[in-house]
Amino acid sequence: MLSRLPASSLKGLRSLAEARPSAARSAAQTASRVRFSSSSASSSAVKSFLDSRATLASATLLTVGSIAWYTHLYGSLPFLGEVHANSPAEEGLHPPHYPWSHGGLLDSFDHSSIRRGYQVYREVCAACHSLDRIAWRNLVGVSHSVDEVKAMAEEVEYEDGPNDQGEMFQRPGKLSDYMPPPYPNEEAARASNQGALPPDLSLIVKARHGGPDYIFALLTGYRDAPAGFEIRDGMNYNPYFPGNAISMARVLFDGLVEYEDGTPATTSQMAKDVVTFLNWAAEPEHDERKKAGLKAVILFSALTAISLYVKRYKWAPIKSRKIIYNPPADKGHH
Amino acid sequence: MGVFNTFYNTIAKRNSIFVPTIFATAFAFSISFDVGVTSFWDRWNQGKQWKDIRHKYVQDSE
Amino acid sequence: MRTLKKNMLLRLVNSYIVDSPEPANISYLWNFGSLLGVCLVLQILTGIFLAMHYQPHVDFAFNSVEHIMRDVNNGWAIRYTHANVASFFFIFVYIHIARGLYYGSYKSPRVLLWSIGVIILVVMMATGFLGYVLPYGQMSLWGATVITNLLSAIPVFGQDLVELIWGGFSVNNATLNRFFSLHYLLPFLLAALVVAHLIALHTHGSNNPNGIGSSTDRLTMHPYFTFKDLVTIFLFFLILSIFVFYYPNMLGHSDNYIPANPMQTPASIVPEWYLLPFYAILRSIPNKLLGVIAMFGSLFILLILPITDVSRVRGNQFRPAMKLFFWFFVVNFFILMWIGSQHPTSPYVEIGQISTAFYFLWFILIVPVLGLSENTIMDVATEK
Repeated sequence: MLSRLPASSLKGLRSLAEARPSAARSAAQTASRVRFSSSSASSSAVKSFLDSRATLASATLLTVGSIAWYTHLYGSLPFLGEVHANSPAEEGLHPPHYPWSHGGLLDSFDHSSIRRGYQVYREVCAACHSLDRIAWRNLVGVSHSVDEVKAMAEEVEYEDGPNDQGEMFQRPGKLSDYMPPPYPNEEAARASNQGALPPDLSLIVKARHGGPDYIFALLTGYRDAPAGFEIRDGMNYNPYFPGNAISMARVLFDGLVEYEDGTPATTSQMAKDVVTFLNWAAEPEHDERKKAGLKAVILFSALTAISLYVKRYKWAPIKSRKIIYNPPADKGHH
Repeated sequence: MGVFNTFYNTIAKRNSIFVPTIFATAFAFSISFDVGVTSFWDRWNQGKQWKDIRHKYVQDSE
Repeated sequence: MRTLKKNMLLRLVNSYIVDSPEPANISYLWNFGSLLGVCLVLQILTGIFLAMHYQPHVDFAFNSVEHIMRDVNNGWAIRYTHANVASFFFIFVYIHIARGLYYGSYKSPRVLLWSIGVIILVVMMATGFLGYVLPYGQMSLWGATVITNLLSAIPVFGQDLVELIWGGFSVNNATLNRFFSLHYLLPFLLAALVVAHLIALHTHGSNNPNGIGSSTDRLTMHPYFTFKDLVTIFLFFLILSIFVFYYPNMLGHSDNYIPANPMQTPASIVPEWYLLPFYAILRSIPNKLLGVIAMFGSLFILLILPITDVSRVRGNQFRPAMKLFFWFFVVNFFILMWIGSQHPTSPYVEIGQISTAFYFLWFILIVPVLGLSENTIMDVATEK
């Protein structure tokens, strides 16, 4: 393939160069007409500052850091942030960040809150929402003792069978059984809820953008629709719900539940507890995962540091080598 | 300098001593690291875990 | 002679990771190859253990993944590792390719090496696409539906081809089952391609940042580059651990925790982040078939770089203009990635179209023109 423009195409350029009044066109003069970047650089102190890798790295970090900080503070990119394909109504109002007691990298769940949250689920939410992926046994050693859970399971009847006569029969629940759903199937659920299907809550905290912050904001966010907002009969206004019209009505009101540990059952307390419970239901490995993470980060940080030291130790003779160039002896006039 | 010499002479010189020492050290480190992180974790999360609240709900009569 | 150097198999190990003569000046950017190898091994290992518990049936797939997360001992760790290493696999491959672009590693005599690399990239993307369908969440189903439907744009037999791939008239159980089979198969094809990639590398050895011959200054792989590789491997494990243990779902989409529902389309169908730039290119072209061609073209255009880069100089180390345009290309790639995540409306569509145009123009116009200009200028400047 063509690797340079042909000499003929540069005729004009060459004649321009030749027209310059000057002496013989020696290589040195040609060289002096050609400007290499180093021959017209700024002062060497400024130049070495601009050329240094540290400057480049710092400038990059400053730029990236500024943009990241801005985005974190204002929630949108600088300048571009004003561009929205989605209105907040479509996307749902972004929930604030709440200081969950399990929010930090070292924080476990508050298991008392999980216990209270289970009570809220059982007494308020379980009327409409299933929790299919949680079995009675999952509660043991997390929020309740094994005897408590056995007793709770036994209060529920489960169909089992067939027996030796070939008949299905009812029996009290066991630890291995899963939480009973409020409706036998989707159709029954829709029929009891004006056609809407209350979703299963086992994964809801991971299945919604915003996680626990979103669920809490949603549960406590019910308010009157703003003037002019058209809302269908049977729907409820909630600014956090995408589209702003949700089928579920507000269910949490002060004093709705009586906590056995005496905690005042305000709306926000119940919301906080049920969200903590649902977060556990979606991520039962949470405590173990963070603890393993602590060990992993400590060990790999140490290993990285040690490996870096060993690398530099092995490379030291190379990094401090001196390379000497002996130019060839001049063998006569060139 | 002297400590490195002692280390070499007592442990690293013979592989039949070096390798079992590595295994033993790893075993001991593994246990102590786990105990250390666990006790930090339990202290940091004091009162939040099941083991901190179970006494309210479990009657250890046995 | 030592067994390591004499034995038929060990001598290969020796020639590849012990005595291999590496240029002394290769930077940390040359570490990404070994990192990619580590990722492949991790994915195969975690994948095999996941496959022991996964059920590739539309009625059981989602539940089987939740079974892994909740009941299998440390199943959550295996699953989260598999999902996050996939992301790191692509971060590393993009940097690895960027290194190749910057330093002219695609130029002769490494054209075969580069070509095998492009095939590896395409197979990686296919593997990732297949794998994402397996949990059978909303995004799995609908992403699969969108992408497989694209093939219907092929004239004459497109629709029949799509139905052949589906094994039916929509994404259904047959589709999931065969996607699982292929997802298990392709990584071993990748392993074979990697071996070919390494053999091709070995014929001429590694490039180096200066782009000129380095045979006068070489260091053995061991201990210099084995220990250097170990540093980035541990650093990788550290950052991977932060994701797996603390932010395991950050790079994913929450909609994939909703079981697949063919009756309900999600608000926005987005592939995983590493496919977003190509998704943006696809959506930039208003015509379905041309969009598909552009999307695959954007990958295969990498293959023509050895031809369109006419510069007599290998790499950008001594080419200030090309350096600038390289970074334009990189920024443009990120713009495409951002566009891919947005709704296909104004002004995102227009920005995406400009970015797509720049992506292709870089290979077809900018690279050859810059090379041509530089060669000419250099000749003019150095002739008597």
